[in-house]
Amino acid sequence: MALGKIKADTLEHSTAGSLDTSYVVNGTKWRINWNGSTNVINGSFNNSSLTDNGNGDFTPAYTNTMADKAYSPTGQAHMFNDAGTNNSGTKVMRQGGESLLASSLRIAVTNSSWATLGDRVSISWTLAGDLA
Amino acid sequence: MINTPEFQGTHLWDRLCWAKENLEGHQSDYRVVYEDSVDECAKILVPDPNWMACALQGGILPPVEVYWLLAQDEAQPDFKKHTRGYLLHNSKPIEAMTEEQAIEYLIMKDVPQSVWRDYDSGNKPKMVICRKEQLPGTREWRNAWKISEDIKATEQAA
Repeated sequence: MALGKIKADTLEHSTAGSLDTSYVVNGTKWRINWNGSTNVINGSFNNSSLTDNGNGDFTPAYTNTMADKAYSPTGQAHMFNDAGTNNSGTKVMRQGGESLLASSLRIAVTNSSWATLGDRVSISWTLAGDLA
Repeated sequence: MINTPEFQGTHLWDRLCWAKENLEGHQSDYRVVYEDSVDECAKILVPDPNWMACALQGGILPPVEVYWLLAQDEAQPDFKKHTRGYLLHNSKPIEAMTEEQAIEYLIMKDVPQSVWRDYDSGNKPKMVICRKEQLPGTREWRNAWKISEDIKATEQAA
């Protein structure tokens, strides 16, 4: 990546139209994909660590802190665990009540009834919002 | 080894973009096991491979104290938005670390201070650094995992 600075408010494609760069500024700021059974991080950006809090309970932490707690995380998980068990109806949710942290995100992976936390072979989360 | 550009004053996000394009991720074998509540099982911190590459490269990550200052700001009851984010970008980046130094940095960044400040003052350590091979081979009874009563904090990991 070149280190020169380009300032632009709009990106314009030759045929497909233009895009206000504020969309880029407010776009995805963090991502992680990991195996919840082995805790191997397969892909990530702007992530410093992953903490395994127990079955289906994880906390990734950001390298570049978010500007506030009003960002928008989104996640998904595969339905299989490491033993090959099909957990159809797997759900993911963020923990921590109404307030997020600007530095990390606590995540839960549950069965279809939300009752039991469990590990899955692939869990992915992304985040859109503003950086500190 | 590729040289790190002079990054002081460059937004940390832009540094991470540079690192993503120029550095190979490093999967560390180290794990940090800690307990921050007697009612919960032991937690296991796994270093991110891209973050570890930045730490080993040097000149990218801010001093860990910056994260402590931001955490203090966030802990204020009237916190709305970070106003000192510039500390991440304008502080002099830290030099290249060994993998062991990087783990210590990561502990001070991502493990609660209540754990690492006095991790070895009780009847047993609240935190140990080990290699992943030293963890149980399967996740059976994962929610019952605890740091062994017999372990010494100064025992060698390998």
